Amino acid sequence: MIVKDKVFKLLYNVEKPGRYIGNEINMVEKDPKKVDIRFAFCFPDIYEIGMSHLGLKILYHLLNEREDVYCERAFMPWVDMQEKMQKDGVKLFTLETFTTLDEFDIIGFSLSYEMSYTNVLKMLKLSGIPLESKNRPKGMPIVIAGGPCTYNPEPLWEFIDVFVIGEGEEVILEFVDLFERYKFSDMSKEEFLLECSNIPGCYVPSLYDVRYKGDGTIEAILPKTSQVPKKVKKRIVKDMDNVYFPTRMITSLIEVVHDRSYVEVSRGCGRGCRFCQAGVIYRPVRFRSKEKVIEYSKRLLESSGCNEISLVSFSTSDYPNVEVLAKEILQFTEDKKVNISLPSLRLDSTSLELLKQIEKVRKPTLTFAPEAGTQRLRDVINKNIKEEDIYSTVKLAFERGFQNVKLYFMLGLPTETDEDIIGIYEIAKNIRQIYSDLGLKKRVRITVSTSFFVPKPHTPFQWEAQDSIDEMKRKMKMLKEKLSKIKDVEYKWHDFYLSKLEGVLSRGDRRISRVLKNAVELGCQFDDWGEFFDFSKWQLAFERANLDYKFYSDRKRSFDEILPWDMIDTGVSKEFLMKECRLAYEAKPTPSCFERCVGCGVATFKGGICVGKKV
Amino acid sequence: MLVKRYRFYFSRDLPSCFISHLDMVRLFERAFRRLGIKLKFTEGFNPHPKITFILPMAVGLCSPEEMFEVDVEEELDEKVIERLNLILPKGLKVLKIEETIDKIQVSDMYYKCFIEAKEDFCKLFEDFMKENPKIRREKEGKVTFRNVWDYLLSYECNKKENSIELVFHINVINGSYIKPEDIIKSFSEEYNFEYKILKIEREKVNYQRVI
Ligand code: SF4
Repeated sequence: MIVKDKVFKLLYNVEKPGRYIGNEINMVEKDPKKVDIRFAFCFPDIYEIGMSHLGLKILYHLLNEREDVYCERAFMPWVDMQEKMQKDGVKLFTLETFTTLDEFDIIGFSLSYEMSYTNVLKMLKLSGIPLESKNRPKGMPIVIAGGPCTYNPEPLWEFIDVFVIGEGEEVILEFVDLFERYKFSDMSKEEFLLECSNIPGCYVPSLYDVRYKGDGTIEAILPKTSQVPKKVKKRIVKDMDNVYFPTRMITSLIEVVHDRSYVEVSRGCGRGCRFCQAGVIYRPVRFRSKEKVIEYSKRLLESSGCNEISLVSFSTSDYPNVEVLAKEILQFTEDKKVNISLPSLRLDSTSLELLKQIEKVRKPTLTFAPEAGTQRLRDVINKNIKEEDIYSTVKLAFERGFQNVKLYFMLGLPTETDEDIIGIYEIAKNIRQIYSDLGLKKRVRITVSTSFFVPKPHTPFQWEAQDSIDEMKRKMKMLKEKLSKIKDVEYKWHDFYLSKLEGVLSRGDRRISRVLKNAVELGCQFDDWGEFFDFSKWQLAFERANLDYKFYSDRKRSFDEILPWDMIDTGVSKEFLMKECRLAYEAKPTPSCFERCVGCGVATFKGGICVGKKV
Repeated sequence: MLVKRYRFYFSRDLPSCFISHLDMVRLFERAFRRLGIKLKFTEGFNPHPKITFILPMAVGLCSPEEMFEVDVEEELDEKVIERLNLILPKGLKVLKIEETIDKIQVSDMYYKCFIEAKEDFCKLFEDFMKENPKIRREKEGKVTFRNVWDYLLSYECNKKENSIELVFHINVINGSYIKPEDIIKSFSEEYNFEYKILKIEREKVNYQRVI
């Protein structure tokens, strides 16, 4: 029986079968026999999450623009479906043609968060594909991976043949060209991988040796031959107006997480928060012109029929004249009853006005991410939010009928003291007081959420220690107790163990790959779904690999230690990161790229704001 | 402002039968928007189009003919059928449209279910049906029971080559009815009998016109 029939026999008996049927609006249909290369784009999470991912849609359509390539999609099936598939001997398949992954030439994983690593392995397993690159000879799929997590590729080094570092649309077609030569010649896999390593932005882990010292730190990372570059520099799109962007975008039939059309208005963020990895790896800021944004919005809405368009950006407020842009979009969306959403708007009085005009705010919620409770600590992390501004915006918002305020903070930031934690309580208390002073009748709800600081590679805090689990618990309890004294305040905190595991995986080295393999064997998957997450299994996985997880998370590194990701070059210099780290200790802020260039090193890319390109 | 209500007849088959009711509403809304057809929206803070299915369809349900009504701010003719069919996903097909001038209600309907189960399914199922079976429903923590025979007019269980075919004739009382898959489920729970649904079809719906 063909795969499709087998799959359909399972669908009446699983949750949300709509995840597995494909058939979406603007899905690309091709005759697989008429293409040279079959590419399976894999997202290591369920359909509803993967389909709200813009990167997937860009690369899917970009690859399918080529006549000789058919790019299809596969997602991680939910546990009920996995069980049924295994029982009936159905391997993991794509939604376009119900072809199993082992039949593909190239399998590309999108790595957006570390907690999906076990799902990557699980997807390979469900496809019957050997996990280790060395066990996949020519003729078996080449497995590649891209996305923000590849900036520390090492935990997955054994399983992935080639990592794409940086923005995929710059690299992928060159990679596909080389693959085509490989497939239709007698080139060996070794020769192919060697040539891959010479495509800028491609990291081939098997071509590097890592030597360790007795204390477990790295002694050296060395290319195996002189033909392999010592460092792999990320690739970026230089000009947002001349890069491919799909305007007939695949649109799902079932509701997904962010169910709307998107247009990307900018890439990168110039604010330089010191904990933020995205702020480094997506540097520099590049804006898309207003004309292009408007043209794309129109075409996207026409081709999808969606009732909402979202302007995607790290910080929409930094887009020059965002009000003008929003109003022009409003001109053609209003009578079609299409909403505009500006998800990453910094909230102040001007943006509040803008929001009121353009966004049909259904549940009016005001969101702030001060990240730290005192000005000192906000200066440490370079988060430029002033308490007075929060209070004045909150007051305006309350007066306009907003009833929900959400505040996001991080616990465990470098140099944090208990006073900083109490500062979080003070902010919540003051907001509650502003509300009381207004004498309004409606109920107010203030939500304080904290996550735990996770030191990330390539940031000024990459050398920092993460709080121990006991310390996390203590801080959370202290804050919880304090906050319980304020009326109408709800406190939510992120799971300690999840933050700990994220801390371990983000700064892991090659030895973590064994831990991942053990974890999958012990049944770990969907780790960030809470319901399946079991830290004791992970502890066991570490024990079996003879490793201590605290070595990766709870340990402070010295500036001269060789870090596992040192062969990856983001363009931001290590000197700059060290300087930022020292400034952090002195609680000295650094201006944003919009105020002046502080010489992070990315100017060598000659793109975006570094060359003064402001739309 | 001109507002007209149209009734759309459509069929639903694999794979689109796995779309939920709410997703169906959104899917048609998007299709109309793509064609530039002006829908009538509700007033208020969060306007939404008026698309009403006469009978919401359960996930997995196939049918040769279903209908929904929609309010539009323009006049539609037959041409819209072809335009819609060009952009609808596989399995969904508009059959005809008519302007709505009457109101209709469902009186009774026929379902056909194909299942995979062991040989003696029909025999045991018949035993079960003789016992005045009930369907357990849980809504917001409250448990209620419904007598199957209050809604069921007749049924048949036939053994086919690779499957078992169950036919149900179901009565609709004041807009409420029971789903055949719930009958099978409650049988399997009580008799501890394993089965696998292969397909469910609403073969025919009888309507009453109310003026
Ligand atoms: S080089 Fe200057 S302007 Fe460019 S990203 Fe770095 S700090 Fe910002």
